[in-house]
Amino acid sequence: MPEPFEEMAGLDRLVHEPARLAILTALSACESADFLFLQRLTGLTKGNLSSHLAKLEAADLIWVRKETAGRKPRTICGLKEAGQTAIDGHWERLESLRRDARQWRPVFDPGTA
Amino acid sequence: MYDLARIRYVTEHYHDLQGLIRLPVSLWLLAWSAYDLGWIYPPAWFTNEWLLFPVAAILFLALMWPIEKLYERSFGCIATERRAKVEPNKRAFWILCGGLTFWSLAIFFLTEERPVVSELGLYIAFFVFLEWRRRSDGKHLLVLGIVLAAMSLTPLFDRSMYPSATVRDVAIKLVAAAGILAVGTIDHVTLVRTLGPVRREEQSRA
Repeated sequence: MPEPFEEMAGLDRLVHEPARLAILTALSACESADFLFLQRLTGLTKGNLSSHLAKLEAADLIWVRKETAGRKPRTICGLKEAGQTAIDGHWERLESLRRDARQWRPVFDPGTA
Repeated sequence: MYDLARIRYVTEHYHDLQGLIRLPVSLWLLAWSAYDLGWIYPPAWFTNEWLLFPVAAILFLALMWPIEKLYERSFGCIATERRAKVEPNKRAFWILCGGLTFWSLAIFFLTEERPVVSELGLYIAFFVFLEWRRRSDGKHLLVLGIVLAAMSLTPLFDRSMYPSATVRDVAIKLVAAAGILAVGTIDHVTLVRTLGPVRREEQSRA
């Protein structure tokens, strides 16, 4: 059985990256959010946020829609089912790692002493 | 690193945390109190005094719309699931309204006296309790509801607490106005502390 610390290296980096995890967490708490809200929430620059959203969209975790509110264009994002599954699974994996890490004890191997 | 629990909380309660939207309600209660005390009065051309209450209510509450638009322009929009219905509490609300009205009329016609308990205070307290129960958070709302309910009911035990019914209702409206403003400010600060400023590209290169 892999050590919990080894399992950490196997976490999905697409989801685990802090800014993307924050974006997915926010989108999992609502039906959709616009670009400005996500930008204020994450503190990212416009370019950075666009880049993260593009990666999540390419991985089919979120949908992105551009619409016009009055004369102003607006970008709206929402979580797809695959995205909800990914974030739920990610938290379960982190919780499992936390439990394993707390129970982990070093095994003394006389052969390597 | 991000505080994910706070991000989740603010997103789930985004509309509730737009506390400044409640500012017009506070102003309306303050204006109503000032009117009861004779400090302000409608213009001379406003002859239908019975229209004063609904017109003032509409004018003040209409201010909520531009404040909501300001939040949208400053912090963005989100779409959430429909707010949980509070059907059982709506029934309780109508029962309370009907009961209070019947009780007030009975006392007035049987004794020619106004009830010592403030129905207005109880209505406001009930709305605050409804809001607290719907949000399932916000102990500050619960505290405000309890204070208003206590102020409304204590004359039952001490009739001399207020010099008159007018003073009683003005005191309750002032406490409600201050409480609603305080609750709104707390919510607004919670929102602003989580939603940081918009970062420009130049700042990231600095």
